[in-house]
Parts: sequence; C-alpha cells; structure tokens
Amino acid sequence: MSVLIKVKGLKKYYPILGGLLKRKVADVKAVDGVSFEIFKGECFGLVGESGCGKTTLGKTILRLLKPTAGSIYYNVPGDILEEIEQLEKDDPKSPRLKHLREQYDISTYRGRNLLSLRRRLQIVYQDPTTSLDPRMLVKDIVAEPLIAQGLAKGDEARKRVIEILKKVGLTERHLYRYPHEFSGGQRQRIAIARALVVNPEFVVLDEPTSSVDVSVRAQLLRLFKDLREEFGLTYMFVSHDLSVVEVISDRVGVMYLGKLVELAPTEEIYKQPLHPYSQALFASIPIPDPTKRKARAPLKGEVPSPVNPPAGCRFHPRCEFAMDVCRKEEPLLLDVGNGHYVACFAVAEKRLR
Amino acid sequence: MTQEEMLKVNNLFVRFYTYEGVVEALDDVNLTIKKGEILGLVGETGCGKSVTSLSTLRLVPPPGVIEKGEVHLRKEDRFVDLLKQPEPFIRQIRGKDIAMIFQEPRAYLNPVYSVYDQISEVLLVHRKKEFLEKALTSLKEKNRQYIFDCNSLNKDCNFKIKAKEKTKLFNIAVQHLKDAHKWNVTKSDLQSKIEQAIREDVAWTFEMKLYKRMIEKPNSLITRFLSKIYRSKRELKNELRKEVVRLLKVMGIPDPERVADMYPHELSGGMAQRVVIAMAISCNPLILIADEPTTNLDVTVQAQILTLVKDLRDKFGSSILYITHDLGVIAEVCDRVGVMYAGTIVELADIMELFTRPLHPYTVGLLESIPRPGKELKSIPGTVPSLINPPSGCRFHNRCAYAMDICTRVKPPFREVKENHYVACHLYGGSK
Repeated sequence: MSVLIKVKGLKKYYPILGGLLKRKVADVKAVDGVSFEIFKGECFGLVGESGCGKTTLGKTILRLLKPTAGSIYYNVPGDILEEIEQLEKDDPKSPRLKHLREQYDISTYRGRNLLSLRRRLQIVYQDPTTSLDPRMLVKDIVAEPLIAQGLAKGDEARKRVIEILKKVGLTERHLYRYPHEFSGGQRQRIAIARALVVNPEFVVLDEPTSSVDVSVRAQLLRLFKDLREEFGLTYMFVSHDLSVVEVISDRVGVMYLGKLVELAPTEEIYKQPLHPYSQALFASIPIPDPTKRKARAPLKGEVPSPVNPPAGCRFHPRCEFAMDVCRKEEPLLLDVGNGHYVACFAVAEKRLR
Repeated sequence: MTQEEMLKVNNLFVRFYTYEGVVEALDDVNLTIKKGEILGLVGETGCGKSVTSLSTLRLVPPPGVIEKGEVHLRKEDRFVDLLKQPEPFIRQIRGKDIAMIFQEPRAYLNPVYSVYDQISEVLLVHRKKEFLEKALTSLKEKNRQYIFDCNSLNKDCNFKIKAKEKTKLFNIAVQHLKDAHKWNVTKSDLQSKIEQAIREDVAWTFEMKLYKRMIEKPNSLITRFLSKIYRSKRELKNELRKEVVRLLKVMGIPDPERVADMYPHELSGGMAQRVVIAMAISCNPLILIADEPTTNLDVTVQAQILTLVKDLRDKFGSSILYITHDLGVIAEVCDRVGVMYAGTIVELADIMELFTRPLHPYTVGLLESIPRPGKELKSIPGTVPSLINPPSGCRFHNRCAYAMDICTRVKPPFREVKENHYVACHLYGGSK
C-alpha cells in the first residue's frame, strides 16, 4: 500500500494572549509532535477524549490551520520521501531540502497551491446545522465548491450537483430547499455531498455521526462505506464514539493530550490495547449486551490542561504503571510488531502485555 | 421480583399547542418504577423520553399541556396523584421526593453562583429546619466551650466588667478570673478579650434567638427581616458548608473544600455533572430521574458517572429512571428497559429479556442498528414521523416490515405477553 499522507512532528499551538499589550503569555499545545502515515484507500480512525486535539489534527492536515511546526506530505512519491528523510538526517540546512519541502510539504503551501490542494482534500464537519449556511439553497451550498475551484458553472454545475445528491441519497426535489427543512441525517448528507462534489481524494470526517440518532447513524455509516468504494476515497475518521470507529476504520490511532499514544490495526487495538490509557479508554465503552456487564475500575482523575502538560509521559499522573522514567522522559511511538505502535515505557520494557 | 412500586404513570397524554399544529408528544404512556431499581427509557430524539420525565414533575414547558393521565407517587405508604395536587405541594415534591439530573450540566448550573451557593440552596429549600436545629445545638456547645476558654486565660483579680452584661456566663467567668493569679496577662489585654467575648456572646445570643424564631415562626415578617441582617447566620452557613463538602466527597470529587468555592465555568464537564448529581441526591430523593446525564461527556468520564449512579442505587436504595438514547449505557446500568417510539412506549421488559428476545419490530431494528464489527450494519428505513400528524393506528406501521392491515387502523394496546414483558404490537397477543 502506498502512503497517501505522511505527517511528521506536527505541532499546532494556540497562543494565549494576555496583559495590556495582548502579548503571548502561554500556548495551548493542542497537537504536540504527532507523526504517522495514512495509506491510500484506507480509513484511518482517530479517537480520544474531547480536548485531546483530534479535530485540530484533522484540520491542520488539511491546512485549514497553519501548523506551528512539522511537515505534512500529501501524495509524494516514495523515493522523494526517502530523499527528504535522508537530507533531514544528514544536512538539515541544505538548499535541496528547502527546495523539496517547498515543493512537497503542504505545511509550506500558500496562495494558489493551497487552493488547488483544497480540491483534493475535503472535510465533513460534526454538526451540519452549523456548518451549512441557513440562507443558502441546497443547490448553492453544494455548487459553491465547484464555483470556488473554477471547476464548473451554470448548467454543468447543476448537473454535477444533482449527480452527487443522488449518490448521497437525496434527489432533485431537494435542490430548492433550505437546510432547516431537512432532518439531521439529511443535512449531514448535504454536507457530505458538498465535500464530495469536487471529487476529492482524501476526506476528513470530523465526528460526522455524533449529532444524529442510532438508526440514522447506521444509515450514514453505510453511506460512508459505499462512497469510499465508489470514489476510491481515503478517510480520516475522527470520533470519540469508539464503537463507530471500530466498524468503519482499518487502523486506529489513539490520542491523549495532543500526542498519539497508540496506533494499530482496528482488530488488534480493540482486542488488545497496549497503552494504559487506551486500555482504560476501551474498557469504558459501554457494551450493548447485558450479558457482558463487567466490573471495571474507571480511570481516575481528569485530563490535565494542555497549557502545562505533565513532563515526561503525559499520562503518568493517572497511570498505575508509572515509573520514574515516565516522569522524566517522553516515550516514543515504537513498533511492537504487526504494525502496532505504542508510546509507553512499560510496554517497551515488556512489563505490560 | 415483587418490589414496592414507587411511581406509577398511567395513560399519560401530553400535547404541545404550537403554531404549526398540535404536537401529540405523549400518547398513552404507562410506566412503573419499583423500589431500588434502575429503569431505562430509550428512544430516538423527539420520541418523548424527556417529556415523560418532565411531566412526572409537572414541568412540561408552556405550549405543552398534560391532557390526561395519572402520576402516582408512593409517599408514606399511600399513593398521591401528582397531577391533581396544588402547586405548593408539587414544589415540596420537586427536588425532595423526586429529583432530576439534567442533560447539560453547564446549562443547568447558574454561572454567577458558586457550587456551595447552589447546593446549599437546595438544602435550604427542603431541609432548612433540620439545619437550623443543627446550628442551634452546635451554638450551644460553643457557648459552653467559651466558659472554659475564658477561665483558662487570666489572672487579674481587680478587673471589673464595664458592660452591663448580666448573663450567667459572664458572672461565672468573672468569678473564675478573680481566683486566677498565675497568668501574666495585662489588664488592657484582658479587657479587650472580655469585650470581644461580650460582643461574640451578644451575636451568639442573637443568632440563637433568630434560629429559634426561624424554626417556630418561619413565615413571620419580622423573622424574615431579621434573617436578612449581615452575618446573622454564620453558624447555619457553617453547617450547610459541612454538608455540601460531604456531598461532594460522596460524589468522588477530589479536594471538595476547594471545589465548593468554585464557579461552574471552572469545572470540567464531568465535575459539573457530579455537582448536579450532588444537588439531586442532597435530599435523599425517593426517585431520581436522570435525563441523559452522560450524553455530552467522554467515555472515560461516562464510565465514572455510571459507576456513581449504580452506587447510588446500591448504597441508598434509590429508584432511578435513566433516560438515554445509548443502548450501550442501558445495557450497562439498567434492570428494566422501556423503549419509546413517537410518543408511546412500545416495549417494556427486563434487560436480559429485551436484549435477547426483543419482540417489537422497532426494538429489533434499534438493536440491529448498533454498530458491531464483523456484522453488516442494518438500519430502520425511513425517519421518525412528525408528531403533528402522527400515523394512524400503530405509529410505527409505515416503517415496519411486518405491518398488517390492522396496524394502519387500530392503535395496538400495551399488554403483557409474557411475564413482565409488555409490548404494544398487533403481532403479539390477541390478533395472532
């Protein structure tokens, strides 16, 4: 499988301004050094609690936010990626590296480059009631990206809008309606149509099912699966609903306080999560089966503030396996086999398996 | 299971008279909650779960009207129909006998009052007398301690009390002072000490008199005026504070002393929800209604809250009505479950029975639309009907795969088809 998106050391800090001159007094470290790859055609699930930086990561990859540091490579040939990596190691100041990064690293893009990138990378937001303009007709909402990208106008645009509406389960009848006339599930379908109308390659789904009911959620998940096959899409599925992620994703990454703590194929991580945080997280999913009730020890304490994250491993104040090294050093995301990556000293030492 | 029934809801009809038309929000709802059980109520958005809970407390918001029905609450071994009682009586019930936990804790807490203020308000509304008595006894104890303090303090025998204080307390104090020569305390020191003590004593006497008055004549104008005097209720506040801290501790909040002085915006979602639950259980309610208490919380926090809810049942024997749309949560905490669809309860059964042998086609569809890995996702075709013009007969018939002729005409009765398993569907019972 070829790599579609490669993220390296990505950071996104939000400044906190204070004082009379509104100078920066601190940073909210929303995403703090995340590296991973997304393969072509897969669905990459990203889970974590609210405020752990999932959405920020998704938006930063699409360059809807400018990263503070790090690089994002989209659809870069393997040999060039290798060359960049080699150069970063050997000669981080070489003009060749600078040139390559300007050409391939989308974190450096701007202007026209960025606009053309938007055609390939799209996003579906969490709440369609707020992401759709209430004063625009469906036909205008869905056609807007086509016009902005200069892909189609007039009748041509209309044709493509109808086409995509049919794909997401709406019809021509819906063209001249406003968003408020639709139910939550249908609104989300409009948002999906709008994202897919420009024929993107990669779509970030930012909690697309969290505002709808169970039965509608199942309909939407089916739609996502069908569309992915039909258009050959690659998804990044951001959600805190672990049962949904399990159904739709091929690989799952777990985030905690701006860091990726574990990354593994879906089946493996749901069967045997290794990081203590993932273990607690997966253990707290309520199972819709009363025969499988379990006595569990819920995670103690609260997520610390991302302004002043704990030193060392960010999970150590809440972790029952915490050792001295966890308080001092930051664990790296290491491969433990089968494409299973974990950032934990206890796991690395095989004390925890 | 033959447990006492705590709350019975019979044939409840609620309608909302809106500009678009009459919304038939509840259409013949029947429910019973037994002592010490957690009854789950599950259904999609707009199916009437919250309206059911609100109408048990007569809190249905204005365009809504409770058309008919009965809500019987067991109170001291007899049933009271809450819908027929006068408003002041209901105000006594709300928060005391039936307490409620709302969905959005941040919207529920008042942002300009501290946690202590808000929890103590509940206590003052329902348990004022109890706390007044507590404060009174602890004041009496303090007075006794004061005598001891005074007598262990001083030496000067020539000292005279200038104030015209004739309380027994001071006579004794003076007696003791005359005998004590051993301590090195200057005269002025002693004088200010005594004067301070007199002031304290006056305040205490006033406080005690005020509390007595508040117990005996709580509604008299003078009492109400006196109780507004600044710093006139310090002991009462101390007692309330102790109770608030205790409640917060029961909720598993770390450092309850500090949290008591915080304002809602300083609390995280899970903490805020705990504060709301603390308010709800502060009067040891007979019935606790939890209306989607964990919907906006993360799974790890949700797990903490669910454990807490189960503890409440196990430790205090509360009956809990747990409303949610998450079948996972239902499976985790409930003993019995009612499934609601478009304003009616379509199925009610024990948790095991419902999950293993669901009868109503809607329940079956709902259980199948839970995402499970390896299984194909199924969903119920169509959408929830508008309640302004609900489908005739069975409200589910236009989405139901088993719909028969009779379903479009006759509303299926809610009947017991197996022991403790109630269904409203023409497929079962009579017609089949």
